[in-house]
Amino acid sequence: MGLPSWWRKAFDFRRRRELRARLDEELAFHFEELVAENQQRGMSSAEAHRAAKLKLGNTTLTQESYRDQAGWPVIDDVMRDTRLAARNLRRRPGYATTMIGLLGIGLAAALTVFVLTDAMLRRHLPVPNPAELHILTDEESVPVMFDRSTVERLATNLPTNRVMAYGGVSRVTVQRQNQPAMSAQAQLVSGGALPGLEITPIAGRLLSPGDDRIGEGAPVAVVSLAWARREYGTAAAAVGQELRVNRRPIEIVGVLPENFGGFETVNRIDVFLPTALQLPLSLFTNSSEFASDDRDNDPDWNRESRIRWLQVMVRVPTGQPVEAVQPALQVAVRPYIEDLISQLDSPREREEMRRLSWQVLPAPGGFSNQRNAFSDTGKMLTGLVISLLLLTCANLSGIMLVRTLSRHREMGVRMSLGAGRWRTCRLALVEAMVCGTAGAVLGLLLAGWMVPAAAELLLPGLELRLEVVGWSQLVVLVSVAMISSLGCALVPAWWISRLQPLIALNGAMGGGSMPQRVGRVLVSVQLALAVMLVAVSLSLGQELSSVLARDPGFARSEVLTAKFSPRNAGYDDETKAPLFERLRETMHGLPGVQRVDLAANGILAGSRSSSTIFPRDPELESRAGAYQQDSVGPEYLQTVGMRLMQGRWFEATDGPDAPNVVIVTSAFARAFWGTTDVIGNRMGYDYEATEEDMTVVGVLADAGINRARDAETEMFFIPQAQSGWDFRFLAVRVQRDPEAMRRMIVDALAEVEPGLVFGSWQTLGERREGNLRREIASSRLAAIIAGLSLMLATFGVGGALAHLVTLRQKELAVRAALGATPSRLMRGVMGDGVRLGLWGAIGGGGLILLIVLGVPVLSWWEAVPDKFTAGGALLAGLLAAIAGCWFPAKRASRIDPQRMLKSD
Amino acid sequence: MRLLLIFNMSAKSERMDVLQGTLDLLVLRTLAGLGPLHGYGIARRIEQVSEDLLALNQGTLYPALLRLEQQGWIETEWGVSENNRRARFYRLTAAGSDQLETEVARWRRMSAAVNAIIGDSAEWAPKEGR
Repeated sequence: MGLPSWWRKAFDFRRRRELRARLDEELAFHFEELVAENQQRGMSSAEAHRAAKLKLGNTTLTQESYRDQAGWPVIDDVMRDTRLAARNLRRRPGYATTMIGLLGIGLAAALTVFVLTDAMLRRHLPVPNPAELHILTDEESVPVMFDRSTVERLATNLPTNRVMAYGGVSRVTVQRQNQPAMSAQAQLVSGGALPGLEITPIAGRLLSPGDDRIGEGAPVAVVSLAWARREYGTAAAAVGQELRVNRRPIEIVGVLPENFGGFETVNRIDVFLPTALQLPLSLFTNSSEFASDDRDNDPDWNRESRIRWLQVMVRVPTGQPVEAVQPALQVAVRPYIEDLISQLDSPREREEMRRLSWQVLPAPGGFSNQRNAFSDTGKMLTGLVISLLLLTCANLSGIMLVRTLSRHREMGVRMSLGAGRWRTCRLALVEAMVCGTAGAVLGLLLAGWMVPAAAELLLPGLELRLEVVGWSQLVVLVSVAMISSLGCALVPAWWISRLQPLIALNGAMGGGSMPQRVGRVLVSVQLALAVMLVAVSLSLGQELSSVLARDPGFARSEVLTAKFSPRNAGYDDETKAPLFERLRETMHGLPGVQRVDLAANGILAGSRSSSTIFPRDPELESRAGAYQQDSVGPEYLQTVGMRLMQGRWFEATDGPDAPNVVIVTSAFARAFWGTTDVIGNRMGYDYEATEEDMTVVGVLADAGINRARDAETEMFFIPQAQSGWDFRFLAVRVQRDPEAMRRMIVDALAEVEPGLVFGSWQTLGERREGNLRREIASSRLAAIIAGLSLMLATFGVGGALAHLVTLRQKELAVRAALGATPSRLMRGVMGDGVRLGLWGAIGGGGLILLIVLGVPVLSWWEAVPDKFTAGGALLAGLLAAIAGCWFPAKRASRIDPQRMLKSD
Repeated sequence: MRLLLIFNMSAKSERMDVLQGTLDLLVLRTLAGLGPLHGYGIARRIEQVSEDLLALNQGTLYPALLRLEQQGWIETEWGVSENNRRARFYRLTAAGSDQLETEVARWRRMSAAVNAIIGDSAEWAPKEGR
């Protein structure tokens, strides 16, 4: 079986030069044979040559026909056009730079958004047959948590390794032998979870059902490849190693395959442990419970049916209906539901409970709250990029049209010499495609820098696998580049297709006034949108800086804070108090430390707790409700720099045997008692007054404890000595530069408490900025988009006016010949630009007014521009228009009437 | 259907041009009969066998040879001609032999059909002088 003919043709296309040489040699041989034959017949040499030439015919035609056969004529033509386009672009570096640069920026933005949305929204779990994976959700598609016994019933009712259960993600304290403790992301998984994913460990083995027996969970773990490499160098070296996880010895029995980071694609888990180790490791992750009696829950959640803490993933083999899972699911949850119903008194609630149903939804990428939250952002970014590309294409199309118009004589000559319309149009299309290809290369290079920056900006803190170069990315890039570049060339090609050769040779460009009017309206709309976006961006920036500048009610720069978990580090009720004391002593012993103390939740630390509080004044009974609280050390409030408005601070005497005391914020006092004059007032956790009631001893100035945007927080503080809560937040007030102190403090703590992990070392100011991360990212994004819109609008104005100057060059030449000075010609064009700018400013002003009036013009950003930001935006739009018309105006002023009129 | 024989009979000469469809058949048959031949030899052979009735256009011969080569029906290599000159020789391949059989069978069916339509010359005689 020989090679297919297309393959031979392709091969011949590659060696077409060699084939042409071969034909020349064959024709020469043919000619010489004919001459020899003629001479043998008795002709003279001259006659023999002449007769041979006649017989051989037109060799040029033969060569052309042979060339067509040896290659693909269309490709040859396109390559010739490509070379011509490249030469033309080289001759016009400004034009080429504009085209390639703008396309490159647009394509880089498109690729960046594709890479981010791909990593966040479209990626599947790196396991065999991810399409078979489904999660169990409620009617609103939110994953449901189940208790362990329900999960086991479900696993029993379905074939082996079809049910995978896993708890929430939590941070654990991990300590290798003789190494300082560190923090790691851990997840408890059922014994069948990893085998159910059908993954193969890269070293060692997976966790198995045998490791996950209730009450006798094997002290084993499997770790991710990235973590194994970071800690042990290789996967093989990690297997068999012993770790201390939350102070419990655990053996690493396996390393998971590359890129596998858990049951969803956004979060990366370092260590997977059997669910049976929940109690030994003190891992109390997200859960929900339902109990109407006072029985204490079993601390081993594996034994407690009232606590739901395991999410469930089910593998439904391809071809099998998803509905097949439902009967097994109903059987599994029935005992649980019956138990819940038996605890309910209300018939309506019982009926609602009976109607509960669950869905089995496809989840090839698992379920992630962050991914769901990003979904809208992804749509917004995609919409923005499409708009950006459309605007870019519209502007570049205008610039290309001007360039094509200026080549009207060349086009006329080509058509007069017999070039077809398609052949001539193809020049514009190929030139655009050359720009598109170069733009794609530039876009790829820019995306290499933009993707990590955009991920940092929009998705901070996520360890995403971002692939800029891959098959799907290249396909998207090339497709978008070709569509965009062809989109740019459509109008110029349309113009060429309507060009009459004789009229073109005569110097007329045709076109009519309609395209100009449409172009001007488009440019005005672009300017209006840019003005609105600039106003939004400015107002976001202004709002952000005012929030950052506002007094938060605590010290920003001189207080260093950190989070820690004594429970994860294995401290129990007896060892915790000495630990806290050691921490205080260690800190006080460091030079430069002014104050130090601890709190349970802290400030801007992502955790809060609340309790229902009752006033002791019957008239204020309606004010009872859940209020935020924190349990703090005696010097904590002073340490973090909160201001006391009335009363006193906590004192060392406010111990467990002393009367209970409380310090409240002014906002709490106003909300609870309607006044800040509340020293001596009493409140309590119980409806009736008891001995446990607390007396207000101090009132604090308002502070934004939970969110940097908040100016006040309704909350109260109680002394830890009276509450007994765990401390998890350390605050150190320093006298020197906090940056310099941070290292010293971290080292001192590591030496005193090597098993305790302190994370998130930040000043309170840094916590505020971190808390505003989303707003800062949003503001930066708005600034980037506003900048790009302004730039595009500038190019749009430039393109529209350059078009106008090209069309009016004869008129301008006549005016110059009649005495108009270059500056007068320039002013004329600038006047056009300013008019465009004014129209854009008016349109932008209208859009800003709509936003101010509350019309949802932009749903993504909640920003209301004031008169200053609106004025700044209008000015920016006007300046962009003036900048855009500068080059066309300069060009108009340089028109040489003699040369122009002579050329006609 | 590529098998078409078009004759362009000149009023001045009795020679006829061979067009592409038949050219494949003629070239393959020539190579099957004489073995490896160069382009000139193929052209000459066709003219000789047809007693100079068929005039082979050189402009179509060499592109046709390349096409046949791309189809895998002939192979080619450099050799030395009887006049001791370097020449490109063409040789029939096994696929080319199969193709030749197909082309011959098709031609026979076509010529039989054309003959059947023309019928017995005694039934219709062309006018004198046309």
